Amino acid sequence: MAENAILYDASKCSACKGCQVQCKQWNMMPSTLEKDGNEFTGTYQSMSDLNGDTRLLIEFREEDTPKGIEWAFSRRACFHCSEPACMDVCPVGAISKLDDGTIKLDSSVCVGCKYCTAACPFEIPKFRENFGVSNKCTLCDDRVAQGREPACVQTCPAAAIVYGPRDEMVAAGQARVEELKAEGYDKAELYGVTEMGGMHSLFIAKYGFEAHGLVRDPKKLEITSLMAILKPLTGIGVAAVFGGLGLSFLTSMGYEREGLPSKSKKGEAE
Amino acid sequence: MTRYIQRHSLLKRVIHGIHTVACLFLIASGVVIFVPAVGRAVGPEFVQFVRITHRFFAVIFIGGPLVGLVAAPKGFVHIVQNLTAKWDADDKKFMALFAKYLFAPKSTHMPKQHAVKSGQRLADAALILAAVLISITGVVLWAGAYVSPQVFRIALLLHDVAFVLVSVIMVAHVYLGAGIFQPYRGLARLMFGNGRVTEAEARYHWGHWAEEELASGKNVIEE
Repeated sequence: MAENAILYDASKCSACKGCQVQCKQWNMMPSTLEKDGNEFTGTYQSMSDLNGDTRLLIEFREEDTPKGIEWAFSRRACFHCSEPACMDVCPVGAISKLDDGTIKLDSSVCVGCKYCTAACPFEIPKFRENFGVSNKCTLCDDRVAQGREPACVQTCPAAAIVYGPRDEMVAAGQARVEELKAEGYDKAELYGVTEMGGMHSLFIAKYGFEAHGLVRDPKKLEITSLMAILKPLTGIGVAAVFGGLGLSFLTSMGYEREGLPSKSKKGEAE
Repeated sequence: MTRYIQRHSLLKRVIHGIHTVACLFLIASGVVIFVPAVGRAVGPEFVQFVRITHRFFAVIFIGGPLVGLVAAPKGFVHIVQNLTAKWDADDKKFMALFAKYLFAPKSTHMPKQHAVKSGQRLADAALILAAVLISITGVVLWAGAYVSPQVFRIALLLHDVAFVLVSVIMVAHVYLGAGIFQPYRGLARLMFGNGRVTEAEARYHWGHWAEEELASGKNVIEE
């Protein structure tokens, strides 16, 4: 099966947040109904970060330039890495890679240990407290399985989010970057082609990765690599101690001394 | 008539017993989470059950010694004093000979020891440090929804490190403490029995301590 990907074009995005709303609606993720229920971020951004009930967030970064205020919009959601750290650490296999490259978190299997959040270099999976599970974008695998587009893609009025075969999305993204450069946006670049082994959520960063809050050259966190080393190390350590003590037991067999409880009456003094 | 020395109080033995059960369960349940292949093999429902019971036993693991501390603060001070006692020549000699003793006990003569053998002082100190570390980081992980991912992942790493230490030390602790090592045969009774040791065994294992106890006669029992 061909791998698919989302292509988000920050240069076309109007930050209408339709994708954010549609994501919540399709996936039945509630939003606060209280007035000022979300903390004020100082921008038009809805909330400071993704949360247990928010899988997709449009971020606003603004800069005062000679041309006036320039906004660098970002679509913050799971990147669906080809080498997902979250999947490696999940103790129950709740996170899996589908044939089309989607990294799916199955909430019916998740035990809410939060290891995926700790392992993700982007801190994307969030804990959904009411349900005791982690939550993140699944690229609407349920819709895709029925031949439909992800909800955010379908709703985008500016066609800033498109979905299709990954190689086509990469080609389209690279072509768009060239167009932007020709228009004078010389920092424009495409995110996700090679990052984390290649992502299935690509991002056309009009003003460059940093301006859109993207981590350049992301890597699996060293701490998760250390934890991965600890597991075999523990096995080796325990096995070595077992082996050493087993040898000690063999060499101590037949040991006797005056006053030592006899083998036939273990636990009793002679 | 045999002379015994009462080495461990009932409170100490009860707390040790409770702690043993909690510790063994925590290690077993920890493995289910620590090794993803095991968790995936047993399924999410069982993992979730294990996670909840892991916390139940964690409360006992942390609470047990605290109850002991409150119930017998002098005993706790005594334990700390024994662990931090200055090493004398016999203590150093014991450690120097210990590896040989493990593999050739029939031909190795060990020096007299005080209330806690020097080797056990090291192992106990490492075990206590690992237990404190695993307890603190465990509480942080339990409160995972309220801490940042950075704090959570550091706590997770340290919890794993402490788990490695506890697992390795526990294997050795059980081997010696349960008397599987043949010269230590019968010692399991000290913590899992009546807490008494015969005069002969006391002289063999803790010569200096036995002499002090026999001289004072305070904990000596004749039956």
